[in-house]
Amino acid sequence: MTFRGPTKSYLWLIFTLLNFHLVFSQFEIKGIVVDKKASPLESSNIQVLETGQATVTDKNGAFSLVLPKGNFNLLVTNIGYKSAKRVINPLKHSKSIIKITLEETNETLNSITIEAKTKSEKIKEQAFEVEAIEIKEQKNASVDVNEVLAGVSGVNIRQSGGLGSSFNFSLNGFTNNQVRFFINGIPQDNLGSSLTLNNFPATLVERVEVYKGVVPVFLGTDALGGAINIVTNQEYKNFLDVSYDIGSFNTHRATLNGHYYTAKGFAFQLSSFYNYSDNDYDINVVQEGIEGIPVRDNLGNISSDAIPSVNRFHSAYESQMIQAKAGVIDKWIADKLLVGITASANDQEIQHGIESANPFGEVTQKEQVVLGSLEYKKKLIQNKLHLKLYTEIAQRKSKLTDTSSNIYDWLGNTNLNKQPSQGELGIEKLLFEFTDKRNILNASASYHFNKTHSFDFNYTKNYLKRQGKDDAKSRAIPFEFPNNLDKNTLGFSYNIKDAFNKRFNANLFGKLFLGNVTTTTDEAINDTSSDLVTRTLNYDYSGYGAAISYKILYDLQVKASYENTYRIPDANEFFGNGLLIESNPNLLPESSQNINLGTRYTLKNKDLKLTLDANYFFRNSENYIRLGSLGVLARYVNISKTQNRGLESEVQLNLFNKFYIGGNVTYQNLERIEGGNRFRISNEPYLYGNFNLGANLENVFKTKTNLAIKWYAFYVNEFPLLSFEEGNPEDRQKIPTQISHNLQLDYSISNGKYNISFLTRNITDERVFDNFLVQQPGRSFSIKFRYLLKNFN
Amino acid sequence: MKTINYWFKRALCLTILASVISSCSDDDSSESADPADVKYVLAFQSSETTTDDAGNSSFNELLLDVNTIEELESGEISAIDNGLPLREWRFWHQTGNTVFSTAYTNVDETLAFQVGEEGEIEEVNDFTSNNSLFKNYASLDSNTMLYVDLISSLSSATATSIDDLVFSVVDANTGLKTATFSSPIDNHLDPTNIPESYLPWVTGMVLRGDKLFVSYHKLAVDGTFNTIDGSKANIAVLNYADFSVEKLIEDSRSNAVGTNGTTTGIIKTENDDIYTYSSSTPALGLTGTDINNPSVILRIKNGSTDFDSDYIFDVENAANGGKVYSMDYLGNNKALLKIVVEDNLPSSLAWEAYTEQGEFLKVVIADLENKTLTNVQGFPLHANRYSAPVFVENGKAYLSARTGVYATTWGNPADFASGETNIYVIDIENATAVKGAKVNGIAIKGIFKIDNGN
Repeated sequence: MTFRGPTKSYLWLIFTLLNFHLVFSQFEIKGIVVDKKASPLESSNIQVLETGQATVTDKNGAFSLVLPKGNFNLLVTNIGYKSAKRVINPLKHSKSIIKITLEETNETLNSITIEAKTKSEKIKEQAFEVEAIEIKEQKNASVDVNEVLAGVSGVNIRQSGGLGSSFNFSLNGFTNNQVRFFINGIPQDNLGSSLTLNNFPATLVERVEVYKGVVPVFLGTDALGGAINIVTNQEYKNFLDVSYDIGSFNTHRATLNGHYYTAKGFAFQLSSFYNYSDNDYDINVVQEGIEGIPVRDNLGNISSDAIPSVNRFHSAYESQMIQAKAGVIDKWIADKLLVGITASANDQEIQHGIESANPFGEVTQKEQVVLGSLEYKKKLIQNKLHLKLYTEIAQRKSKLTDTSSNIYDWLGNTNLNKQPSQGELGIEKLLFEFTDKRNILNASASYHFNKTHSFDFNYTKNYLKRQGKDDAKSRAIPFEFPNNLDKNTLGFSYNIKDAFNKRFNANLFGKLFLGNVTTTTDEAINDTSSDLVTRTLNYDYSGYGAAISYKILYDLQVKASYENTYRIPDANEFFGNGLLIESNPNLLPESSQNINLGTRYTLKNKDLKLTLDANYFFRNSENYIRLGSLGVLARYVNISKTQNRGLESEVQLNLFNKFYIGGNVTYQNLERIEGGNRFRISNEPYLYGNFNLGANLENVFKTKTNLAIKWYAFYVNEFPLLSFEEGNPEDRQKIPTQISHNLQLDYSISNGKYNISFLTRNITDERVFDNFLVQQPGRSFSIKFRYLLKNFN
Repeated sequence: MKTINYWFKRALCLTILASVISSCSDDDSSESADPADVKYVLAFQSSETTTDDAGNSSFNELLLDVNTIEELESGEISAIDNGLPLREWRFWHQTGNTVFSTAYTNVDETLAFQVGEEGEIEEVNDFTSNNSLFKNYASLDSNTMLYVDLISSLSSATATSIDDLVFSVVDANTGLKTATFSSPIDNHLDPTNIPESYLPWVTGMVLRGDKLFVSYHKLAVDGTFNTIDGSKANIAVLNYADFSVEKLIEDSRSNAVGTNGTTTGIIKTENDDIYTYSSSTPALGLTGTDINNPSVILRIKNGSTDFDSDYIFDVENAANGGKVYSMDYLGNNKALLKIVVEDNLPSSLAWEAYTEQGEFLKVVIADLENKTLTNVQGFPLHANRYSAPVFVENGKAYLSARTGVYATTWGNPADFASGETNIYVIDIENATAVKGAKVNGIAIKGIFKIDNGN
């Protein structure tokens, strides 16, 4: 019996499904890949042409494969080396170590990218339901990390405007703070809008990992519905990466990013970005049922005239970040010891509130973050024990300014508000500032008993102190006295990896959420006296979960994962703001039981790679936290149960290492359960997907060049704003179906040293709405230049 | 989506047609309207909630319409595949043949609805206000709607004045706003004595001749909504139509008059007597510490602009009495009072009576002349606090009421699963009620009857 050839896969698949227990007469072969000087070559790709199996060499150049009887061709490749082919016979070679020597060459980067398993593919093969995206060609394009995430199945991002605008992130129906964000495993909550992922150009990022519903313990936090981990360049190789792009709506973005490692083991890392946009795109719908921008008389009556379109005029956004780290690597004291400092800021004009009918002309929001960090890594006990320590002190300042007495219309005309106590967005003027102090401590240890069994421990302390002030306000101020939130997450995990001939992975984990919240509010009836009341609430909750995967075939993996998890309320949710939002010390954490059942099929040979992913998800959640009201007062309350059932699937086909086509679709049924009744939750997309088609061509016009062309599209089916059931169907307010097409063209020369990229978004100039009556930009263009210098000394 | 241009054209045709027809049909004006041209409009509050893009959730509201009064008296009222969905919590008010509806958000459009030529509900206008959230409404006559934009705090800690209130006059025939006027009514700002500074919070407006009587609370200027000097009745008498202040009257036999969030704090009878009432509990938003008078009804007699010192109706201590939540005029010197049954509230903390489910309101009919109260037999203890002025037809009042356990957790929809809402039909003469249509929602916030003039 042999493994399949590339062409008869389908029949073979069925045949093998029926007979798979017959094929296990297996041998482990081991090998090492070296260069001509006999130095081991890490990250060499080993591919078995007959089976499509693939692996990558470790730091010592070593690899291993499990194969049945027979003769197999191994294709060995590495960047900068000529590929080598070897015939092996597992029966014969299983007793010795195969040595393969590669000769250096000038082969370009892109030729081998799909031949062996990338880091992303390995991550996807974990037992968790995880999506990993290797950011390669997007690094050349004018896109940010949010736009990369928008391509992941199960993810939907709803923006309120152009570059830098606020957004709602949704993962399998969980939104906003139910999903937690990390950079290199460090939680990013409460760092504010200058460090959200729409600020990060994709150039700064290597990989994005999306954990759906079930979150491994190394991401230490109280995520209710999943976590996003952004991974930056972790290789100890020198590089310098500079980019600048310019686009429609006076958009400018620049990055400067580089690592420098000296021969003596000193390390210097720099990462920075600058973003600016006027976001003055034109819009033609701001009010229900009206084409164009309605004209009102000076009393506010609408007229039958409408202006066909206007430009947004108070929508500019600017943000910048610089991060510098220095330290040592590969020393006896530490494998890595880095001290870092990060500073970021943004400045945002706010054009309108939840809806866009009434524009604002002077509301602004500014944020600043300063952050110091220390990271330490060390392997001990023959590399069996991995220790990691990260600590950070951050301060964030946020300022919202709403002090104008002008009422604006969409042409920018102003009228003086007859009641000047009112600002543009609130019922009173604001000059509200708050300062957050955030301390993070993350300690993790993992012990590898052997290649298969390991144990992980992770502890994260996330301490937040918030204090507010307001120079414009006549009354008590939210967070006038500090609120503290001390959140501790402990995680333990037992992991089995590549057991039973690399077919079986499993993780069993438990988490403890411990901490307390403290607030002080002035409960005096009038503001000449004071009656300070301090409240503290301790909490402890424990969560647990498991994930398993099994390869029924070498190319067909099934997965199942489960987590029982919590999101601890924030201090303001527990305690209100001391004003009209009252405290609710009985507030319970949001809790959820999350289940994923998935399969992953990969067909791979020299000319073709096909992956099929399908995942069924079930989320059973209780105690969602919402702001409820009573008279003029409000309070955060736990509301009813929700359930979400859905299916997401993804297909990706690559041909001849040159052409690709693919896409994914997500469908979900998100319901609220009240008593015995179920209501489908409105104002939430339930059917969406995205599609891509492209080519990567080498040596076009010239050697060492790469030409890439890519079309990609986003699709969101129409969804109702208020109800799936109530109201005349033709009168229901809907967020209309959106399809936006994008075209990207990249050209690289000198093996990726010089890059230029053109991007046209929304080619068909479609009217796109993420939120009700908040129009997104029409067609736009951008061009990006990138210079990448690698491996210099 | 509906298109307003289409509606405008329809409305224009309708207006022209209506004027032609009405001028032609003057001689048979006594003939009652064709039933096809009459609509009962219902302000339906659903038990479904929507979470908006800022994370706030509220019960959905829809405009429903039915053709006959019988549909309110039996059967079920449901919004499944029915009704015009509108956004956010809303104020509702009828003047003449127009129903006005305003969202309680900063998207402060007021929509004006009428019955179209073919008996369908049409939006004839929308107008914006002053960026204002808080409003109060009145019908000055069947042609004129008046609303006022309120403020809830000072413009800044260093402000030297308090904003005027802004009154807007709306033509109920066209739905068009025709004029606005600013007037301070009554306020006081002493930067050295903020606790005694106050701003006016309107609870009702009534026009008699050329005088507009405005009942109001005095609220703290610090945005806390606490009442200041709340152990007096305060009424401003304004000159209509320039809204200048003619005089301010007060009466220390009563607490502050009217209820925050209702529009009928002051009412007028057929013979131009004016009545107003006070509540006396923080559960109704009367949150000052000095509320020490009972809940009473006071009168301003026809022709007078002062409180009638010979008249006081102590509702709190009368047989079948208690603390008044609201008062609606029914005709013939009778008023419908909602009275708070305090024992059925979990506490008397501020605003406790503002939840939409519970059994803490009872309905009585008050004889204003004879100062008697009659319990309405058959009307259950209930909640449903907000209502546009009560709808009365042929000697019967129609009112929505929700029964069920007290919803303690503030708008948690799950708490409302156990409750039930019905319309109750009250025989005013006999003070009896029968259960009418079942409402598959939280409340009918207003019942209105409008026709297209045909």
